[in-house]
Order: sequence, then C-alpha cells, then structure tokens
Amino acid sequence: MTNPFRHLATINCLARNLDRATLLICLRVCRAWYRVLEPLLWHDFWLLRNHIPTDYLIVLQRNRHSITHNDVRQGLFKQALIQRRYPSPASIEKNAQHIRRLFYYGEEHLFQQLAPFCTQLRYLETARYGPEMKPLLLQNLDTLQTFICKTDPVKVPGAEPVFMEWIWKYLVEMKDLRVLELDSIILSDYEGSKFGIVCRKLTRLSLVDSKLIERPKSETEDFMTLKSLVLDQSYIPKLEQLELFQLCPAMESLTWRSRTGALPIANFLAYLSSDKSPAAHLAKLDLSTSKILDEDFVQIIQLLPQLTHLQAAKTLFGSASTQALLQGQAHQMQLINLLDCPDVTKVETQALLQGCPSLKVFYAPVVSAVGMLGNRWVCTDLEELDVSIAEIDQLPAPSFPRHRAVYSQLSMLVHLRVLRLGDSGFAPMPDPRAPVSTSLAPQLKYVLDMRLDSGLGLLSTLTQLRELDLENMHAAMEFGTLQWMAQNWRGLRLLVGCVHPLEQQRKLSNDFLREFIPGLKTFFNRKELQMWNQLQ
Amino acid sequence: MPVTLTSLDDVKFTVDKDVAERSILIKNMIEDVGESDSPIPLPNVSSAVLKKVIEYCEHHRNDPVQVQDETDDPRKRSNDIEEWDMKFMAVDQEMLFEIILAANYLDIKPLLDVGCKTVANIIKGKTPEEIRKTFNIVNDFTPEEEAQIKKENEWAEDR
Repeated sequence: MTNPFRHLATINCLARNLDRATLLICLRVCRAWYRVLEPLLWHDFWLLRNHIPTDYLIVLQRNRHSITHNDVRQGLFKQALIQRRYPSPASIEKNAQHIRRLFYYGEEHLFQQLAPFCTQLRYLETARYGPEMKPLLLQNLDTLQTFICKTDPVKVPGAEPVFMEWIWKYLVEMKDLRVLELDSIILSDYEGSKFGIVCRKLTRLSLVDSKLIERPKSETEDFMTLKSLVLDQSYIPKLEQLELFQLCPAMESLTWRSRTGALPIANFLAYLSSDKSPAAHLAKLDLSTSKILDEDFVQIIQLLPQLTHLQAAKTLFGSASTQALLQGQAHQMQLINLLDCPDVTKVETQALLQGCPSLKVFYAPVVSAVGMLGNRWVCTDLEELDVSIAEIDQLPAPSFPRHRAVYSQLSMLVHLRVLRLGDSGFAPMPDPRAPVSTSLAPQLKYVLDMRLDSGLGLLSTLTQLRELDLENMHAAMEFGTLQWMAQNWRGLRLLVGCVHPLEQQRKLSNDFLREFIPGLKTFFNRKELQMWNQLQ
Repeated sequence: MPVTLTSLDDVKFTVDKDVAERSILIKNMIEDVGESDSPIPLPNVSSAVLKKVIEYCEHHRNDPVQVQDETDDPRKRSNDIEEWDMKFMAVDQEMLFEIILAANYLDIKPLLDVGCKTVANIIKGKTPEEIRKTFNIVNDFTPEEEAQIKKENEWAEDR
C-alpha cells in the first residue's frame, strides 16, 4: 500500500493535526517518525506555576462549599500538591532549541536550565518580569514575533500593576515583533520615541489595565501596519486614546473600554467622520460595557459600512441600533454580542435572527419561544448561540412533542458548536445539595423541558456540538435522555449546569456521561469552570 | 480559459483555469509557459485520483487563498472537517493515501490539510503497533528503545 507518510511535508502536516497524546504515541512508531516528530513535541512549552500561591488557596478555602465537582477539587489540589514531571537536563539541552512558543508562569529553576538553549522563540507569554528574562529576550531579538506580558491569573484580584521600565530597549530591537499585549503593566518612555518606533512595526497592540507614562504627546508618523488595537481600561487619557486611533489608518479591529464605561463619544463620531477615519477597513468593533446611547450607536453603525463583528454587551444598544444594523450591514454581520443589554428585547433579537443570514456567533439576552414557530431564523450557519428562551408557556397547545417549536428551530442550526441557554429567570439553587423546592415546581412550565419526549430528540442534528450550558435550566434528565446524548453528541466536551436537581442523581448522570462521551468535562456552574480555566 | 491536465495513465481532463490554479504547482507551470493549449502532464497522479482532486478543487474554487499565519496558534486549530469534505474523504484507505500524496505533489495545501486531518482522526486512540499496521510501517525500534522513548517523554503527558 502507498505510504504518504514517508515524506517530510506530509509527516509535518499530519503532526500539526495531532493532539499531544497522539503525537506522543507516534514518536514510538519508527525511527523516521521519531526524528521528525520529536522536535514538534517541543514547539509549545509550558512552564506553569509549581504551586498555587497561598493567598489563592485562602480564597479557595473560603469558597470550598461552592466547589462541588470532584474533578475541580481534585484538579486544584493536584496542582497544589503534586510535583510535575520535567524533561531530563540532557533532553532539555538537546531539544530546547526547538521551542517556538514559550509560556512562562513558574518553575524558575527549569527556566534557568532551558533559557540558554532557547534561541528560536517566535512567541513568548509570561507573567514573570525578573532579571532572568533579559538574556532570553536578548538571544531572541531576531525571531520573536509575539510578546505577551500579563499578570498571573491566580493572583488575588486587586494586585498592583507591574512597572517594566527596562523592556523598551528590547521591544525596539525585536525587528520581527508584530504582536504586543500588555496586561497590568506600567511602561515609561522617558526618551519620548520608543513607543512610536515599536508601534510602527506592530499588527496588533493590546493594552489592558496598563499605563504608558512619559510618552510623547504627538507622533509624526502613522502606524501603517497596525490592524488590531485593544484599549481596555488602560490609563491613557481618553482624548489621547483618540489621538492614538488617528495614527492607525489601516485599523480593522478596535476594542475600546473604560473603567467607568464613559467614552468621549462625540469625539469618536467626529473621528469616524474625518479624513483619518478607518471606516474603509474597520470590520470588528468592541464597545462592551460602555455607556453609549442607542442613538449614538446608530451613528457609529452608519459610519462603519464594513462592520461584520459587533460586541456591545452591557451597553444601551437598543431598538434604533438594531434597525440601523438591519438596514446597513444585515447581510454581512458574522458576530453580534448583546448580552446584558437592558434595551434589547425579544423583538430586537427576533429581528436580528430573522435578518442576518451570515451570523456565526450570536449572544443576546432573550428570544421568544413563540417567535421560533415556523423556523424563520435565517442564520443557519450559526456556530455559537447564547440566549434565554422566554414565553415557553405561551407556545400553542396541545403540541406534541411539547416544545417542538423551540427544538425544531434549534435543530436547523446544524453547525452549532456552542449552545448556552442562558438564565431561565429564576434564581439558582442556593445549596446544590438541596432538592427542588415544591414552590418552584409550578414555575417550571416557563422553562424549556430538556427531555426526549418534549422534543429534545430533534437536536440529533447538532453533531458538531462541543459545549452545552444549562446553568439555571432546572433540567431533570431521565436515563433515556442521557443515553441519547451519549449516542448523538459524541463530540461534546463541556457540559455546564445540572442535568438533574438531586445531587446524587446528578452525580450518577455526570459519571455516566463522562464514561460514554470521551473527553467530556462537567461543571456545576460557570464559576467552577472559570476557576478550572484559571489553573490550566 | 480552460486548461487540459493529463494524468499518469494518459487520461485528459479539461478544467477551468481558476480551478486548476488551486494547485500551486499547476499555477506556476501556467505562469512559466504562458498562454498555451498544450496539456499539462501530471505523471505522478493517476486518473482516478486526479478526478477526485479536480472534484475537490471545483467545490472549493471560490475559497479564499490560505495565508500562512505567522502567529498561528495551534490551540486555535480545529480537527473538525466540514461536512462536504468529510463525505469527500469517505474513501478507502488506499485512495485516501493517494489523495494526500497527490495534494502534496500538486501543492494544494487545503486538500493536504484535510487529508491529514482525516488520517489524524483515524489514528487517534491507536497504539504504535496499530498505527504501524495502518501505514504498513516496519518497527525498527528495539523494545528497550521504545520503552526509553516513552519514559523520556512522560513529562509531555502532563500538558
């Protein structure tokens, strides 16, 4: 039989598509595969914290009753107590040269071993700013393309930003640097020129909770290659931020958020109408959490004809903005995030779902179950949907299956990978060990019934589903439903929320699902998931 | 303007130029030769395989050209294969391997990629011996060498 995997190009292509566990197995297939694949094992290298900091453990201890899931508990303490396995010094000396992406969050002694041999780094992500970093940066000035400095995610919130005065000279000398992301960092530019020199070679700049001090008040040359700019709660004065925008004529993506939500919107609109406007290119806009009025959003939308991605969560986006979007960019919108927008009702949501055929990601507060009758959504390519389904009790009756209208509409979304069904409107159960209150039971008629005989079986079309969030759905799935899930959603990797209100039954159900859906992780709520993610 | 491709077994296929140019090899050959009616010989590709390759290129003729992302994040790569491609790749193993070889020779990166993703999904969960059987590969490790490699790289299982 022909063997395509005798050629380097095909082995490399295959290796890029292998997960780490399979790559490790492939090393042992034959000598030729070992020679080609071993360097690839080292391309991404993580130096994680070797223990959970004491202050974080204190926070966990205080919240221990809210951590119910065994996996999370075990995972947290495994990270805290069990030593990781490391490559041997000989292996490090032989292979560290192959590291292309380094994630440095701890294990300083290991870092000291491999740093001298890391000379081909393209990507560096770190929460460490000590003197040990300087030699590493010096020997990778010619290769580094991405440099990300952030705080350790398990640090107690409210920690002070880090002052990195010395970093500029390295950033200036990195000739291939294209992406710079700083989180909780203070930089100073005493000479008044370095910021411009660095930005003029970047394609992406992100300043989150960061501060630039002593930078020049005016630049003379535009940042012609900068396409993506993130200013999120940065300490730069707001009008100076607008001056920064004007230096980026090729900007395609802008994230702009302030601590208070207040943004100089009149100035922003003037900028979008000016000669310096990036309207010809700007396709992605994130103004989440800002206090921009609905009528101002209308003007913004009208000034951005290329808009395809709009993140406006927790804003005053409302009816007028919805109409502006439908009139201008309906056919091209791919992402709309309107979560927690108080003025976005089921009317606006329905209009967008019926009017935007290219949507891939849609997050909104609520949609009406009655509006789902007749399968009128045009966005059948949706990959992510986060929405609460209201007015379940107003579906026409009798109907069999009971919630057929809702499931029928959802079943059309055959490319769906993420389905979050949002807040049912009821408070979460305060104690996970408590049974469902009898006073709550009558209200369950307002909630989507997640059982086969209510129409769930129609969702067998969602073969791409990876994430299902049922938090606050008060689901009570029977064994038959769980079996159906195991048969039809074999790609599911994340289940958030309860499949049964009773703790013992929930545990058994989750155990069953994890056994029959390989790779599935289950979490009681999003808070547990967030804690888990912070430690990965 | 149509282009004629000739397979290993001398079968001629006429395709639109934009379809043929999904192959970088063919695109470069056309550029080198200039406007010409002469068939382009593809001595490494049989007619059965070339037929499949043309089918792929015709379906994907309007896809944007893939650009190598210098900041490519492997964590963002997906082993998901779109439905049409999945059905296209539902062939016997011999044909699958021939398609991969042809995609490599013709320099059609998206086709090579989807072929390798298909193979990656096949070998996922297999042992080294099962992979050897799948690809007809002789094991040239001693048991001790194989055990040593496993031990040396245990650290990588943690991540």
